[in-house]
Amino acid sequence: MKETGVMMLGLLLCANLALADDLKDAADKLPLLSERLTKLRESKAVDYARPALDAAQAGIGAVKAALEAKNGTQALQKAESADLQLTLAEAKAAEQESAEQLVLRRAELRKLEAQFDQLLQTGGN
Amino acid sequence: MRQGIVIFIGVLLLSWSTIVQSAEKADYPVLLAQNRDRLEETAAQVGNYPDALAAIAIGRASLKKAEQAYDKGQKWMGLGSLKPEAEQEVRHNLEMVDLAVTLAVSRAAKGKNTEDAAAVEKQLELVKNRVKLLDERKQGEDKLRKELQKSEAIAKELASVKESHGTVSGQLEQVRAENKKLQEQLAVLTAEKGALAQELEKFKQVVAAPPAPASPVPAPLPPAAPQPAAVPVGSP
Repeated sequence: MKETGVMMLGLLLCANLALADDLKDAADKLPLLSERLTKLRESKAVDYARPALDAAQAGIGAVKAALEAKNGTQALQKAESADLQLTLAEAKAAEQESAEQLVLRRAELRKLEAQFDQLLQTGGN
Repeated sequence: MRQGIVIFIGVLLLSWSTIVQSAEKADYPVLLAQNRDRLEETAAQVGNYPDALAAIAIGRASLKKAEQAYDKGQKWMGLGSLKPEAEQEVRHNLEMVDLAVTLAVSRAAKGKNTEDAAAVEKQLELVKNRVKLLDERKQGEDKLRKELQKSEAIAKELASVKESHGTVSGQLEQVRAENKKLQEQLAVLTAEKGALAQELEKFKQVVAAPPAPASPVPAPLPPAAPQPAAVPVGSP
């Protein structure tokens, strides 16, 4: 009976420790996430990936709320989710930027090809 | 009997509530299967872009976690809904799968754009070189054209000079012919002059000799020298 009680106490302690680890991990990730978000807000990502940035900001807010509620599991999950949202915002920004670059380069190519054709036509004159 | 009816109604209500509860809850096996299909379809479409494949790996890991959470979180004998913490984990991981799929698609699009941009860049270099070559040729042609124009002007000038030369040569020939004619006339005149001088000498001698006895018939005079034809000055 006594042994069972000790075992139960140990299990409870382990569970509490695990929850405390989750809270600590989530709390450690929070400033990094906020920093990444700030940097992205200062970059072209604001124009290219605003929805993803807004979602990431909401996710960071959810991490804070979960931390305040001492819900370690949820805080960690929200941190993980916000992290991926930020990665997605970066990817969207890079995608849009590359698409714009491609459009510009194609326009440049068309212009040069037109110049080439004109030179070909007026070459002998 | 009454007790039996009460128990029956109780069981009926319990079953009904379970059915209603299950209907309200998400159908996780279906959701898991849908997410798995979507993930694999995306994996097949994103090509071999490493960043996109990394996102697919994240999606697969999350899907696996969702499946494990679902399997572990089932209530006794698989009856009823999931345990709340398991449900939360399943939902979270399905959200992660969704994000990973979007991320993979975006990264694949970026990879494709980068590839296309590299191809366009290559084409740009090619056309730039062609334009440069054509421009150089055009400049060369312009230079040659100017040289040609100069040459044509020189040729015209030369033709004009040749023409004047021809005229001058003709005139020279005329002058030479005239000169020759004059020299011939001069020679004739010189010869006549010599003959006249001789005649004059003879005549002087005759005049200086003592007069002969008068004869009834006077001695005949020598014939007069022929007068040279007058040569007009400047005639050919």
